[in-house]
Amino acid sequence: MSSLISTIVNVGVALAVLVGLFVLVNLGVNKLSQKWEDRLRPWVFVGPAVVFLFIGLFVPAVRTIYLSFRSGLSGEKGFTLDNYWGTSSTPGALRDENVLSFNGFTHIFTSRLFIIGVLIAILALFAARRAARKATGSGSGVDLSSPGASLGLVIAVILVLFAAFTAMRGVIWNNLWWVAAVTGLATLFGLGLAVLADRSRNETAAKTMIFMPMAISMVGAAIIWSYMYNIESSGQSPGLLNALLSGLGRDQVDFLRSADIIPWNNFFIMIIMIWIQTGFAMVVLSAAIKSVPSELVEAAKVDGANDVQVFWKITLPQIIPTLIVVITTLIVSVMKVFDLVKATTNGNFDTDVLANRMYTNLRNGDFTASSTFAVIILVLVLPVMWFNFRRGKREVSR
Amino acid sequence: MTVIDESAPVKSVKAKHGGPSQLDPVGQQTHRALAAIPTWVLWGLVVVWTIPSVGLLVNSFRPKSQQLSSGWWTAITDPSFTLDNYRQAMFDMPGGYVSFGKALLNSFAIAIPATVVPILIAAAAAYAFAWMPFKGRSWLFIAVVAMMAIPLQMALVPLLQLYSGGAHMTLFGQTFTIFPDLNLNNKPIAVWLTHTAFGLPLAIFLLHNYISSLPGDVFEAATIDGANHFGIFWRIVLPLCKPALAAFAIFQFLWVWNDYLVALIFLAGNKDASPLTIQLVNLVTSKGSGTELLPSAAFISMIVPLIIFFSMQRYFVRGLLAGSVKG
Amino acid sequence: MAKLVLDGINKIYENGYHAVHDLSLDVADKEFLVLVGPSGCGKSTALRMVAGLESITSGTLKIGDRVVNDVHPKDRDIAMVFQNYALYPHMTVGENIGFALKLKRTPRAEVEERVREAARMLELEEWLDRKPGQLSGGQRQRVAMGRAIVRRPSAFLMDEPLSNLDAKLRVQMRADIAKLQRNLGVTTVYVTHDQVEAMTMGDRVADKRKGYLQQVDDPQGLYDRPDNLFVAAFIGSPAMNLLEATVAQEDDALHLAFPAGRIRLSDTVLAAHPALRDRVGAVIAVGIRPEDLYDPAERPGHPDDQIINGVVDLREALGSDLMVHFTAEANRVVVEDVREESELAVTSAGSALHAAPLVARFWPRSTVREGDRVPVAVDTERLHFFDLATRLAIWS
Repeated sequence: MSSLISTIVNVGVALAVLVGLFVLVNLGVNKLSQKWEDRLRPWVFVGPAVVFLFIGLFVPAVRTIYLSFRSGLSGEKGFTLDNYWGTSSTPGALRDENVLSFNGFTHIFTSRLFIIGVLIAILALFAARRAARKATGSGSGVDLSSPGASLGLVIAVILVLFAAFTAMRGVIWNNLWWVAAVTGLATLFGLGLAVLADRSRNETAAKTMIFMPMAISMVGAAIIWSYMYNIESSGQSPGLLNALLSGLGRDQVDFLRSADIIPWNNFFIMIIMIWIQTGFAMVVLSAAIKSVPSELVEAAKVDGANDVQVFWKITLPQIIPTLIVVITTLIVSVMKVFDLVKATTNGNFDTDVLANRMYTNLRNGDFTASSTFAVIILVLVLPVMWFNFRRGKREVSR
Repeated sequence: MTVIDESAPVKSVKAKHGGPSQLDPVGQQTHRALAAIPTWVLWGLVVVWTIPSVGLLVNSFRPKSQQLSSGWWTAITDPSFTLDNYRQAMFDMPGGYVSFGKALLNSFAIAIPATVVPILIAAAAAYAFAWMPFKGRSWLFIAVVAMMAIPLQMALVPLLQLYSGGAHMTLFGQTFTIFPDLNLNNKPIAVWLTHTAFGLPLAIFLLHNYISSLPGDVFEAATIDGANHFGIFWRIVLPLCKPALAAFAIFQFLWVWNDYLVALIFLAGNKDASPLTIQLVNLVTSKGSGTELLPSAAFISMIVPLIIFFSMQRYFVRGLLAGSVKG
Repeated sequence: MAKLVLDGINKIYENGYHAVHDLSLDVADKEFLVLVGPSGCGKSTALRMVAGLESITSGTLKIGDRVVNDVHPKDRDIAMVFQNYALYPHMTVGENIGFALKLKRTPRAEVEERVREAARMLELEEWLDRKPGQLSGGQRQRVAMGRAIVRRPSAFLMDEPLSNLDAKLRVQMRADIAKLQRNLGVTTVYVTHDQVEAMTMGDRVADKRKGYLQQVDDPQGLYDRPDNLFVAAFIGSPAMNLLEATVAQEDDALHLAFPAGRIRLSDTVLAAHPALRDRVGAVIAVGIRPEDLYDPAERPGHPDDQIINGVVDLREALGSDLMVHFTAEANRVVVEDVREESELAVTSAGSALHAAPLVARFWPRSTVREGDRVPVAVDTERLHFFDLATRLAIWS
């Protein structure tokens, strides 16, 4: 109880001091001449924010880049590129086989996923060609925008990417796999659910239930899913999935830790993220679908379009800007994934990701290595941010 | 840095896809059945989506012996529930763990200041960026907004050094202290300060969008009525911004409440001040005594976000959509 | 209460745009002065400079006997009513009205008393606890008025306060505001683009165009003796008919020659406009108000040489009058920039095309039919004459 009171007092005093300071300075400015008031007041207002951002974000970010090019644990030993490349005995981040390795490259082309993906792509191309023929009446061209073709191609691309990321191992490949899997599948599921909800009764309640995982912490989500993935052992009952496997007469699987299942244990952690992010994609896309003017849909129906055509030719083109927002948002947030991995496998069993490397190095006191991983995350996120920024500027200028 | 149009209507005004009314009775029946398929599929998926959460919820009420010996679904045939897990988790954690009642308080002690402080600072800055002319306003604003692109990880190492050693510079053989060693590590204030800095760019961006869309003549009327900028900010801007403030407050509060990384770096060494997420992971990883309390502890950590989620969903969605780009 | 003096006021924006040119205006104590002009003429900018919301580039502004160029708006002792009312949405009507008093730290009891008094004057008493969002447009307008009058300022500044109301309410509020101003006796500057508002409300009307002041006069003076083509075309509804005419001398009398025919100018006209004699052979602009064109049948004995012929395009029966739109063989003078659009001040419609659309106000019993070719009588004594080059009225 005393801790409760002291907490409240601490918080209250801190807030009161802050607000009081702001009010006092402003009352001081009130006393100044008009000229000085106009000159000083803006800085009283932006000052706190600028100071916080400068000390708390800008300088640290610059220093992180600086540290990533220094040697010694705290950067005390002079400039170097070793944090990124290094020697074969003490490899830097990008030379480390555990981080970025191309060893499995040839395995990509022999994997089942790759072959299935290529087959689907070929089928999609056939479908595209047929769609073009049907549309123009002549035998030329392909129409990649037809439903079958584009859906097929998206699935094919996801399969081929999975083939690549399961064949080539390393922390960076893991991160890219996370991005591809979570972004691709959460967007696909979210779009599907949004369309489904648009045609259902009680959609608000349904959407709320699917959206709910967004409200809870990733740590909480990891715990929730441990009761799906757990393997039966002494002092531990089986998770739902393993119970189902047992029920089907199959052996139980340790989804997150088993040596047999590597690298697919990564995907089982990703499923948790997909479970969370699908709700986000669905809510955003659902709002976009609802904002498509209904006259547009009705006009298309009067013109003789069926439901599939209406979706494909009217709704989808209208929500493409929103789709891009969802995809870029997911890419950026998934690239920084940390909590889920830390709370499930702690980065063991081949599931490590960049942000966890950054954390582990920080904990071990190797600040330069830690900074290097932070910079790698920044570099991977930057193109998406830049793309967003350009698009935002174009939209503003329009 | 994309912004989703918050004004997009969330409620549908579109008519549902009803069938043509002039079908014969049999046709009508088939049509109705077909029209119900999406609803059935959707609710099927809702069940799939909810099963994991339900599992945890059910387990959190099951006695220890049952939890460890059988899956939660057996509660359907063999129901036996207790509140003992919650009591223990809240007040009486075994095995040297800090109780989750204490952790809950710690989470509040971190999340409330880390929400209120950036909002006040950001609102003042956003008002200045929107309505006060001053030199360098536009480039400063662009610089602030551009900081949304910086991933959290980029600031953690230097901040850790700053909090526990200050910043010093050696010039001509003399060392100057630029920032004193305040020994903030493993104190909640380190987490507040960090979250404040990280929350500011987005808060300024969102509030600026809102404040700059307020009608300017209201501010002019207030000027003529005798209010200065401070008076306008206090009496007009803040009250008018309530919806935007609420949306950002909910977003930031949940972000901080659910945060694990920042707390882990700046506060993990101080068990007595650690928030729920840290204590939860400690409980998960140590596979020792008390695992039967994990479901109830997890639910304790989720109860506040869930209350906010269900009671303020409108603001929650708005804040989430707007803040979906946060670093 | 105070007079208001603008002396050689200029506004030049940072981007070089010169919004107000050398504006000099004396507004007497208790006077209701209307600043009227098409949008973009600088009338709002001028008002905002008086309010202190825009800085004054050069010139002096006095309220009472005090130069207030660099005085903060709140210290100028003025109140302003905005086009969109600018009510504080989060405050009740009472709080809105009393806000300025509260900021001045007026005792609470006095604030309440004065708010109540203002509300009574504006019939807002029962709405004092509502928020502006719950009020109708007319009520909001009255709250904005209340916010101004509660302060008892030395001047009211009103920026198109009626433009957001529907037509019927506007007529009503027009009268209410004018009455209120007269009762309170507060010096008022009122900005509008609507010349009907200007004519009906103002003690004097100042007509602006493109940053320049055109003419200041009482409403009837502005209507009867416009100084230039722009004012002539802007003031009056329907607008004045403007035609090109050549001044011709014939049999000792001056005539206006149109392609359609001639109109003899009587001696009284020449006595009023002696300068016309110097213009023989020159092309000038002639302005005829619609009410000065009438059905010859209405006034028997109208001289035959003061008639213009035209073909009726359209008759609009208004009950009390009959507006007849007809086309005459003449060249129209187009004064642009009167109705928002654009550029150029005076152009002729082209000499090849001798067809000018005119509007006449006939008596309601007139029997003219659409398509008829009819004679239209011209009241020459009330003609307006303008120089096409200088655009100024021709008098002496």
